[in-house]
Amino acid sequence: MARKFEFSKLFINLLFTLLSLIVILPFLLVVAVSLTDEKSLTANGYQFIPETFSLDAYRYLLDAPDILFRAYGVTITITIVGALLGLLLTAMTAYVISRQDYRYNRVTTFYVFFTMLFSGGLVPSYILITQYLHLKDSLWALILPILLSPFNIMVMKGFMSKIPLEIIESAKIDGAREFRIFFRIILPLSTPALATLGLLISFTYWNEWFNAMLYIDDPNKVPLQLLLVRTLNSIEFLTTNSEFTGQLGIDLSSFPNSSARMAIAVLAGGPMLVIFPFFQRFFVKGLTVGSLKG
Amino acid sequence: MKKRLFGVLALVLLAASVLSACGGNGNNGNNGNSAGGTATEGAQTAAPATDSGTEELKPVELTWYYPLSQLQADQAKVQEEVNKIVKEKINATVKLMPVAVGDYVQKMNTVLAAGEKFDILWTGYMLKPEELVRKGAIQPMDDLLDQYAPELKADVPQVMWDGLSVDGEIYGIPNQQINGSRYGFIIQKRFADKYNLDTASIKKLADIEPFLAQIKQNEPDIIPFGVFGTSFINPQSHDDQYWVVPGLDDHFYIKTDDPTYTLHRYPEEELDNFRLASKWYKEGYIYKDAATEKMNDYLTKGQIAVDFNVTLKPGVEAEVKAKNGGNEVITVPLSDWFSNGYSATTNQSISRTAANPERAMMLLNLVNTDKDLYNLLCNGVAGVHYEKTTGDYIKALPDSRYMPNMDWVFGSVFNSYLKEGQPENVWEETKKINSDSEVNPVGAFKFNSEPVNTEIANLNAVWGEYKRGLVTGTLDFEETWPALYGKLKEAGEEKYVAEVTKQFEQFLKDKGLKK
Amino acid sequence: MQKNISLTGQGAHAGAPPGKRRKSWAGRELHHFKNNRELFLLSLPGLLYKLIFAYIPMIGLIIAFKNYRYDLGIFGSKWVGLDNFRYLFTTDTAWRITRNTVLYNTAYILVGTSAALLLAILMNEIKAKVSKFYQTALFLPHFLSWVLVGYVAYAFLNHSDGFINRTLESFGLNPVSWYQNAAPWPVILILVQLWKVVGFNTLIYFAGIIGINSEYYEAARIDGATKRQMAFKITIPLMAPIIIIMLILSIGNMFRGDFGLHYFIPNNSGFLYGSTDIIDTYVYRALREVGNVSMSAATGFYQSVVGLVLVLTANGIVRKVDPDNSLW
Repeated sequence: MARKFEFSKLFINLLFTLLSLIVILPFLLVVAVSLTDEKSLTANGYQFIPETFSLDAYRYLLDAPDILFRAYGVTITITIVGALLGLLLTAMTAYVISRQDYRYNRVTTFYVFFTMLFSGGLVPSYILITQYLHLKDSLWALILPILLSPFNIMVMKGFMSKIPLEIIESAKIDGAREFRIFFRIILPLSTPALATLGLLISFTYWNEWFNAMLYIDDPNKVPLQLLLVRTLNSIEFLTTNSEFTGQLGIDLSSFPNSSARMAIAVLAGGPMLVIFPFFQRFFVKGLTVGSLKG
Repeated sequence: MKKRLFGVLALVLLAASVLSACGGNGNNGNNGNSAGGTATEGAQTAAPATDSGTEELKPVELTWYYPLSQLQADQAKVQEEVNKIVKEKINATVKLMPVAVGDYVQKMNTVLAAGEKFDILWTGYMLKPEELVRKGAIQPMDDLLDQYAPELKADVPQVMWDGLSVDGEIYGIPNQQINGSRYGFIIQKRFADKYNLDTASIKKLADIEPFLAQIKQNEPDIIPFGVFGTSFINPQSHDDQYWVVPGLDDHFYIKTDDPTYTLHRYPEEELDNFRLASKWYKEGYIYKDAATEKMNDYLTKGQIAVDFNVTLKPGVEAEVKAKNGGNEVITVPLSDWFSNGYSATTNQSISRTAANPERAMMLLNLVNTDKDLYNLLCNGVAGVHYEKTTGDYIKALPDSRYMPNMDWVFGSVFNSYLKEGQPENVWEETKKINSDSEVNPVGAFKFNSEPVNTEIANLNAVWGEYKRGLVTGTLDFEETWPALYGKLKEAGEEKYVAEVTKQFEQFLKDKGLKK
Repeated sequence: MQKNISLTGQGAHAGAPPGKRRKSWAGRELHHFKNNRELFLLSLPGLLYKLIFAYIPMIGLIIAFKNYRYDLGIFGSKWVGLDNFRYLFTTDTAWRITRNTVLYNTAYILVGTSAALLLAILMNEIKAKVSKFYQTALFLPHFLSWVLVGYVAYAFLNHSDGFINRTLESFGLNPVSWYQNAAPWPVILILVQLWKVVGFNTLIYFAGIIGINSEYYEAARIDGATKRQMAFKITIPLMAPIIIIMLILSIGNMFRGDFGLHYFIPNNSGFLYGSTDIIDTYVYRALREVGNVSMSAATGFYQSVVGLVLVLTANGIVRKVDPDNSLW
């Protein structure tokens, strides 16, 4: 019995190792290309082992380190503020609609869900942010539009609806009010869920560039991803509109080449490998009602 | 309990006001004035300023959006220098708003659709002024031009003003540059020399065939003919038989000597280009994956022997050499210089929401007449970002933090300093081409696409599917065309042609070309 | 306090409690509201946020029925009825893109959900330290934008020196023109999609599993249940709410394709449209040059309405079968 058990664990580990390899392989390619000399890329295409090693791409990107560091600063700020605020609001809203005994549970769920399906589109949001809230060139323009996603609320609701109603009822008998129940009982009980959602929300903020493209003109407030995506977009645009570049004499050779494009991805994604373990610490098993009461 | 509720509401309201205050601060901290503030201020000051002439101009701030292929680290420094000049000359400050070229269309369409208040924007190839006029985004500038920019008005050839006119009113100031086409081949010199290519014998597209055959046979790593299908290859845009009707989908033609200006749709001669491509693809002159690859990847490796180009302008050899891995090239023109009117390639327009259109016009006039200001925008500050070498020649300093390298975005390139490799008389030559080109008789035709929006969208989608396959010959023409034509018909080909014909007839009547 | 609880309990059932008949409807409703007010207050910030950032901008939906002119604004522009929707339905392509969008999304939902669920269950079986490593690895692709994944895919698929063709050649097989051959693309797209999102979904399900009270498993183990039995009898039933929510969310987006996946991975190759073209890529191609705000608004509206119908249906079915797990 015990041996069979070990065997299946080994099998699972093997499976995951294989899967991780499949996932990491293309990633390694990205890193390898970012470290390859451009001339050898032109000649040989992408290769896993660089024929000629070179740090030129990073040197190119770090050419103006002041800009890059400021961009990191902006991204970290919006990620922390956005994730904390977003997580709190998500949990509050999700908790309420996960309560089967809440009278307005269904209507509120629909109210939230509806915004996932329908949106007024870009123009009205732009008018709202710039002309009514006056948030142009403010970091709030990066935080607010994606603060509360219906998707996250629904997922959170899914997690929270597993919490047995009896816990809440008994807390009420003990004289606790809803606010207290939420902060003292529900939140601690939902640690893995909060960690997951916190992770997802932070990633959303970390990857955010579209709102920055629309609302940020001040070069000091540009987040990292916009800085990087902008370069990628421009290369994509210019290489697919060759008639345009041809007519106007834009010299594509002055652009970051394939190695720099990959270096961009490494610089943008790398720090996430630090954030990930931070949240993973909260993926703990066995936090139960019993342990809470103790 | 009510108290509690009010408390929360008050908190929310407070939060909202704090948020908006932050936003306001953001704006103020950034550049002195928020866009909204300038707008109202400007509206009040505009009228008296106009009346009292240029002597007592009230200070205003102008906002100017334009695309750059890469945003520049020293943008703020250059803006400061620009404002020194602008402040002195027209007592205004200008807020430069460069947008990365890949985001420009999306961002400007949003900004314009939202009715944001700003003054000047770059329009052109990817953000066509005529489309913006139909959407009510930009304003006519005939009176402004006459009043505030007479020098500029005179300096620009009439054909360009015609090209920027919609329903008889001018909607843009061209950034003057070359405005002629001359198509032909760009051929790598090493191959032309090796196989003793007799350039004089090449008069039309098909004449290059023997040379391509030689390359195919003897140079296994080289792509004989560099067509990748992103744009059509049709010499019929102007040859001894046809003129293309500009501003449409490049498949309407008129006969050169036809006094009735009858429209020809997909004439046989145009379709022959696809037939030729099919043949060349089968022979292996066109790269087998051309329809799905990027030309630039092969160009930079110097793998393309012959390239078809529509603007064989002076200095093109040096430009191409830099792009194709340093291989020298020669050009073989197949046509004389001609012009399909001005297709509004690169211009400045004034936003409908501009608070100070007359001041915007003054600024544009200044940019196009003040050589220092213009070159400051193009190249940055002398001594910091570039240095003068001899005469009008300049050289970018190493590690320069400002070199947009897009002179044509700001104003007339004829005012620009020269860069290494450009012939000294490049602008005289270019001007000569602009004035001497044979002009398309129907070049000023402007189509209003609105009645057939649906059809155009669907036609674009159909062509999007087949274009690269057909132009590269990957799809055999004879096999594909009947099916493709069927799809075009289904997409609304006939309705589109009818609308074009109707508007074109009206145009001919209005212009007195046809009684 | 005791009273309070019982009343809240009644609130969940719509039937009017006996003994309160004298009060008017409004009075009763006010009474209910008072009992629910604390929870309502807890949700209020979220509701207000949605009101400001989602519902107020929805005024813009009317753009879909107008010929939007920037100078006339949202309210001033002319009504044109359903004109802006026409281009989506006039050609045969409409059938192709609708079919592709629905089939791909169905495949993504089925393959993605089952793979992620399986991985999450397996992940729960191994040591936490090791599983953290796997989680991170599987999650990595989430950081790459589709543009970059497109470059990477190109390195594998391109004709002359892609890894796949080189491998094929080294085995003496003929290279394949991947970007000109539509047939294998459904498989390629499903695999690439799985590659990119499986880590994300696994994480969500895994978080759900570790939230399950371990007492259930203890009890099952004492009863001598096998792992498989535990998975099917404990894990999956307890995960039902989250699985159903994820499914319903996906169904809502059934008519919205993943533009980046279907545009950048096939390299926007016209030869492949038969099996790669979806509503979103078609619209991009059709409107790219025209840049028509009204027509793109119309597309979005159409996708939303179909999504709503699908979700209402799906939720209705769930409600019939298993009322506790329906969304509303």
